[in-house]
Amino acid sequence: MKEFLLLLRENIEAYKSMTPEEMQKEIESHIKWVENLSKNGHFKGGHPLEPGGTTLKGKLVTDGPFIESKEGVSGYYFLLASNLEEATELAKGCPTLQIGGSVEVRPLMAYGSSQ
Amino acid sequence: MEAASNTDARVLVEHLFREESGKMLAALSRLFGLGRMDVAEDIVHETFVAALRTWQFGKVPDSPSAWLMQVARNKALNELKRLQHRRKVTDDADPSMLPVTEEEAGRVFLDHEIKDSRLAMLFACCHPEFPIKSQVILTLRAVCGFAPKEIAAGMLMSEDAVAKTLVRVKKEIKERNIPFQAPIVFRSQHRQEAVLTVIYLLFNEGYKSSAANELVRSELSYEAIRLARLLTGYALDTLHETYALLALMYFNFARFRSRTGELGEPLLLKDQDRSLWDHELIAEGYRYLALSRQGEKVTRYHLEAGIAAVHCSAKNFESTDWKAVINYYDLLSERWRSPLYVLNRVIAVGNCWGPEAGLDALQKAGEEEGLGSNHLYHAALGSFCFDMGDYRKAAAHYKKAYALAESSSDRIFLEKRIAECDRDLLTRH
Repeated sequence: MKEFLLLLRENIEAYKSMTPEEMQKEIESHIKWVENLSKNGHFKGGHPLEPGGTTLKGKLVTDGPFIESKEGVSGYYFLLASNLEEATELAKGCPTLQIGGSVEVRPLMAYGSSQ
Repeated sequence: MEAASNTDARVLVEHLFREESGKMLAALSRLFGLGRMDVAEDIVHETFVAALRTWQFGKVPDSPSAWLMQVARNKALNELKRLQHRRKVTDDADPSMLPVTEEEAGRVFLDHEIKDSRLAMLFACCHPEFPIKSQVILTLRAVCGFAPKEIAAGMLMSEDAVAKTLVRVKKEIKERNIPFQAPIVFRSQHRQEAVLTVIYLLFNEGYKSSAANELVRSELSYEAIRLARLLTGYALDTLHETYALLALMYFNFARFRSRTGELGEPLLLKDQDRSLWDHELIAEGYRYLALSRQGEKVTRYHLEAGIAAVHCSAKNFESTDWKAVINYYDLLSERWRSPLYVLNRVIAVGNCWGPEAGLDALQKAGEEEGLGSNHLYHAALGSFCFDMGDYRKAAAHYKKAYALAESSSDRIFLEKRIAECDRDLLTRH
């Protein structure tokens, strides 16, 4: 099994028009998705990130990126899969995609291996 | 394995967010004042966004409700500081009071305080000077936590119309500076009765026959029951009246699924499938009916619940105790003039002593009460003629009723009756 980082960018805009009931449903579908991943040994972890932060470049420090701008990463999932194809297939089930968010799947580079 | 700790994802209680939304709105409105309900609504929404952003990674807190209230509380305290600061800087002449200390502010988020706030919110929403429909809509929004979209579906209105009503009524609250907490209001029997009226209307909105949005409509009716139960937690003057209303609502709610046909048209009691009745709910009805009879007064709700109990206790339509039903309607029409009571009484007469007796009583009542423009009156005439075998006359009455009927489900019902008359006319010739 290889490790994959799923970087999540949420569509915060979509939340604005959601009712409490719909938000609860959204959470429930995430929980179900994570539960399924765990059951099949694919889930290793995940965490939300605070909305803002700073970006450093040379001596320049700027605020952001912000998750509201869709450029900022709002959280990550840590998955186990045999290859990138499988990880991508798993990522397709992420409910965030249904409401206009995006998921970036990145394999962790293994030490001491050329693959 | 690390993953194991992530598998204990809890399932959330059904409608948790909606319910918490009502609780948070009550607490927050008490803090910021009823005129700032928009501020409260924003905080509630932000709280849910925070939950969505955090919980989607598989970990739901042990007590989701406590988590939500805590987040709302922190957001509220920040907002409070901001408002207080602005008032100091700009000398904003906002008339509504804001609490001074953080401790004072934090108190409104204690469990029992939230419960009281919900009651206060209910009384504020059922303000007799608002149009009654606005009262129902505002109650659904502010006390029950329904979103405008859900209110629209439940009350068979457009979302736009609901939104406009809410804007209008909130503006009025602000202009009149309606206070949030006024215990004297709870003690006023007049206001308590106004609240019961809104609750009953809310129940009936959900109970109205229609094929559209059955699910959310049953939730509307159930909310009414929950609000009445909230009221019984306080020793109000109208406690026994509230018990009676609860009994009535439970008896009717037990028959929710059998009340309409496939097209959402109302079904006659004799055509309802009694195996669909929920006996646990009927038992609740009896429990509340017994409690309601411990009071001294006999109210409208007592009598209506009595009638509902007669129907719920009958094994089938034929064995219904019609004399008891007639007796209840007599008592009702003595004290409250309503064409509905008159009509229902006459229908009971017909079921008890035959269609001829019913028709006779109905025609008399029609003249006395001036029921000529009531479609239910003509439908009842049609029904008696049909039972007497006069299909031609029955069809004519049903057609008159059809022309007067307003709701599409009533028209579907009448179309079916007219078709029955035509069929029976054909088979006879």
